[in-house]
Amino acid sequence: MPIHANHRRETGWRPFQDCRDRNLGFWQCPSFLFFIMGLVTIIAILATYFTASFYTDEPQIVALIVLIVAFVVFIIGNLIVDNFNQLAEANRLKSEFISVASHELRSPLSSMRWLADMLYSGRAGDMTGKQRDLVESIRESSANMADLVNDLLDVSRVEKGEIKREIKDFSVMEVAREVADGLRPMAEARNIRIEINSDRSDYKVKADPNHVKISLQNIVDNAVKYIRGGGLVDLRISAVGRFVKISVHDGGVGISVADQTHIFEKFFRADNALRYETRGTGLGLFIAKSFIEDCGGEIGFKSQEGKGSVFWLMVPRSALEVSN
Amino acid sequence: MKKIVFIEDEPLLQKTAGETLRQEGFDVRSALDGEAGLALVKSFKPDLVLLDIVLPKKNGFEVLEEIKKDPDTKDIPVVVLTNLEGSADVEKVLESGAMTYMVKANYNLEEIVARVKSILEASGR
Repeated sequence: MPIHANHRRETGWRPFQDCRDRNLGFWQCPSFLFFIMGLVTIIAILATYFTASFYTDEPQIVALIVLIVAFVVFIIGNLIVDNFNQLAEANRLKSEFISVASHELRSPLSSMRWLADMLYSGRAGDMTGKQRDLVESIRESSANMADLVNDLLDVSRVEKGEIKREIKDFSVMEVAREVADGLRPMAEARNIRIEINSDRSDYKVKADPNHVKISLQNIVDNAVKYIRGGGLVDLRISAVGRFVKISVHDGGVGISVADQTHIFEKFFRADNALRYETRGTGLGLFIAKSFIEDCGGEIGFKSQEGKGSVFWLMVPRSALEVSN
Repeated sequence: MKKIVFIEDEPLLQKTAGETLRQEGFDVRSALDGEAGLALVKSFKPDLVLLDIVLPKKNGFEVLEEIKKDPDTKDIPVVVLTNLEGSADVEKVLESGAMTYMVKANYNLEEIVARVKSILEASGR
């Protein structure tokens, strides 16, 4: 599904930019190698033609030239295939590492969490108010770390093509309310209101409710984090053809044009005024895009630096909805 | 008093969850490996089993299979408490007869207690 993004790349085209972005040398860059192969093939065709014209009485020379060219093309082809294999293997190892590391991280994390729970609940004896506050901080940090590990695992599953989904009909308003209620305490601490506006309260969609919730949560979480000095995060729900559109409007710091092309990339964090004042892994939007597209939906945004952003999810409407 | 067998190889988790469940009024017996856990389930005949998957001597999948094969224990509800989360693992566990699958790191103790109580209530034990 295409990403709908109302943005233009204003920087000039730079050849092999994708390889530069990934810190690949020219001889590791598949697009550069294909370019070289194409160039060699064209030169070979022209050289063979002109050589053949001169040496029609000596076909062995033409044959030799053709053989040499074929050999060079074969070598370059092998280089390309080799590089692709190395990149694919590196990617596989990275996904596997994330999966294994995340599981191993969960074990001590569980211990930490449950120990803190025991202290906090008073089951291990009474604590002073100050001690309780400190233990609460441990619980919060542990919960945040558990969320991070879950994000890493989601990313790993997305990359391995192992997204687990449970498609069903459900109410969009219910999910929106859950997300808003969950983030409201954090928002209110920053003097930010979260509102939900819809022309109907009973829009139903057909998707994985958990995936839609996580996607919406990630977007609203970003909206809250990137507003400075208080304001409003406005969730609007409406029908657009065979989709229900959930758009999240904020008057935050916005996203620069240069960053907009990368916004859905893994680990990407926009270089804006609040970059060093906010926490984030850069995984939220990558996961949101993967989840929503996996259930047949679309994700998009428009943004203006300094003015704010609108992110939207288009989730397929339930068949019952559409027939009504 | 409802009886629970908790099969978990991490002593800290045994201590915290076990003690919490005891304070909630359950009679909790624990085992640190799969073999001891299975023997305990057969002798103690609990109302519910909390079972880890990655266990020494006999892993959780094997323990679950044997619990469900034995006519004396096959009706005991089993809750898998683990930090594995592959979709294949979850499917295997549920197909083998576990009631539910909970990722330990994602739940606090109160949530685990609430889930145990609701499963016991639902199973009429």
